[in-house]
Amino acid sequence: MIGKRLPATIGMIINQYSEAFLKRSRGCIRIVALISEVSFEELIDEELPELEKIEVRSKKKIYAEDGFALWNYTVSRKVRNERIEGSFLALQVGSFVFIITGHRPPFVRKCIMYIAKQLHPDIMVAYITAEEIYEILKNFSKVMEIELLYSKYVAKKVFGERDTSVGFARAPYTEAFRKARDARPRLWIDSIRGFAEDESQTDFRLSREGHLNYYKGNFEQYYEHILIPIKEYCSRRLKIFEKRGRRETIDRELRPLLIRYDTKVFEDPFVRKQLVAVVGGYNSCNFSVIHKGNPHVYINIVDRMDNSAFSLRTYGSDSLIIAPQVKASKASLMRFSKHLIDNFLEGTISDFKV
Amino acid sequence: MSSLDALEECKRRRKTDVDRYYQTVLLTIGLKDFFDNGNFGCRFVSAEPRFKEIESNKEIFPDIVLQYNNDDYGILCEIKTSLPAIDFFLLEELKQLELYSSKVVGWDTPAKEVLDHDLVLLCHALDSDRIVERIKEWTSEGKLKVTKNLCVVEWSIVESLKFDQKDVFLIRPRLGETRCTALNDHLRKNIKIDVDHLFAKYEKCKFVRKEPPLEYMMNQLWSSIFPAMHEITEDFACSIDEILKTTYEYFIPWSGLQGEYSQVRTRWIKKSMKAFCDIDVAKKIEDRPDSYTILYGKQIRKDVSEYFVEKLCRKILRESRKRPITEALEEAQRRLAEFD
Repeated sequence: MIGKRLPATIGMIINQYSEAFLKRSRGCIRIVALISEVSFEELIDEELPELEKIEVRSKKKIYAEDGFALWNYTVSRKVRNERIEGSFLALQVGSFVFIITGHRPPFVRKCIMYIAKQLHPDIMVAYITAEEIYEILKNFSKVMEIELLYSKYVAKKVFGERDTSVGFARAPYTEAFRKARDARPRLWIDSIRGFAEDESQTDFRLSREGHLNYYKGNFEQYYEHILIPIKEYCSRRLKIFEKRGRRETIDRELRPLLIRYDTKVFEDPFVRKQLVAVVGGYNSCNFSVIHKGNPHVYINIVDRMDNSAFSLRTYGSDSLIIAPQVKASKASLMRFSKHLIDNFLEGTISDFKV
Repeated sequence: MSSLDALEECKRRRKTDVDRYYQTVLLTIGLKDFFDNGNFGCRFVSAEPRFKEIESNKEIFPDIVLQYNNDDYGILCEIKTSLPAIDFFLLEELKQLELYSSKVVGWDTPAKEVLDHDLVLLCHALDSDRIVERIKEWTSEGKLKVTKNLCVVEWSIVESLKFDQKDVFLIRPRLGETRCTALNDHLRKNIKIDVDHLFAKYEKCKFVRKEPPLEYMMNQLWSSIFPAMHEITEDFACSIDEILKTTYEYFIPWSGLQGEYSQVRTRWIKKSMKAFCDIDVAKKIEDRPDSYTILYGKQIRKDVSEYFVEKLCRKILRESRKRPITEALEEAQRRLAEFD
């Protein structure tokens, strides 16, 4: 479906939905990118009733043609004594689902992300890297023929420690990336708010979580130049994670993954020790530390969400190896690699030839 | 020692054992690769084949077997993961070398024999000073009778700028030499094996013939084998046979001279299952022989290696407190008397 133009009807409907929210003070449209290889509608119909404390209040199919499907949902969830309710549009394009809502962050966090987490591994949360954000912005600026500036960014250092830019800037977005790259220790842009120099129809925030918030402009421009690239980057990544489990290979062969960092991060014994703590912070897992940082680290991990298992090992002073065991689903590898980006460091993932 | 100190000491020792076993497996794989790829007239024949000592007709299982000089001569290598701290038990362990000193058959020659052979004992660098000292002492006193050339070699994993910041096994001679001059030359220059490159083989070969520490086996079952047997994280029933079959499938056998044999033993699995029951993460199914319910849905501490070690140490300490002190003393006195 990559490259297929968004039907005009869908664009019009989403723009209509967005209009009311964008008119509000500090109003914005929040888009979350999810991956679902089965129909999102079927998943919600079948799985959501089994989840406690969340219900679909209404569901309406708006469009379903040419590989595009659009629904409007209203969901409600009870969190302690509070009931959170809101509506969202779900746009499914192939195996990607873009959840579009004008509601505030608590609704996104406590309802949308809750559904995504509960439906894992059928639903995966997409993510992009800082490098990919840079490429998306570069392309956006070029095709939209605008000078793209940034107003604020959040960057992260090793172990996911946040470093937020202070004040309101008005400088080319490239400057934010340069600052992050030149910082010592080096930083990675985690989210950035960009706007057009003439402050006309472009104002958005894009994060490594694959979340896009836009404050001005129409849905089509963001779909074509931001959401589609997110989809392409994630599709490439998913392809790397495919068929890694040993049961899926001939002769039960090993198909490891290499994560390479651009610094010799594991030269520091403290970092090697902290890597164990980062694994400890991974939700829903069991792990066994077999060799702890003298000099390398070797850990066995079981993802309790779907019983995927893999070993994690430092490799040289600048890389990690993920060695999938018998079963290692792409959903699990996606989740774990995202955890490393959020809580350890951003690196480049590739196939490791044994 | 307070009970808290005893617990910490027990945990420390058992974790070290797990780590040492892991390193021993890596070292065995590394040495196999080293001898396989090297071309210095000393060839790797097998890891852990079945040999027989002629006089007593006892089976022996050297860790690594090498042959040289057109297979006229051989070397039996024994890798020691960790050695006992008490001299009495250390001597018992080293007595194995006496058995290796006799005429042994099982070599990779038509007659299964060689003209003569030497011995290499590989021990961890932290044990090597003591081992060398004791071997010298006991051989001169006649307590240890090793009649073949014995070469004691130490190994350790180090990370050094000298080796391009890589983790390497550093293998150095500590006592004696073999008659294989090529091997001696290599040892004198120190053998270096890149540890990083061994990981892929380790994923498939996680055991040597020596029985692994209980926690090591439990970790492998919990982290590699149980997830392969059950799709979702909930309790499930299985038999020892089913577990064994799964281990056969994913841990490839070492190739031995007498054909292939599996890495994992039924006995090791049985012990682990008993330990899982003892720490309440498995239950024996009474009406089905050798069958268990694995409580895989149970929420246990995330760090299972720490969890298993702690639970088992607590159990050991609880049981040792129940044991009458006189009984323990009597046993110690009896063993010391034997030693003297």
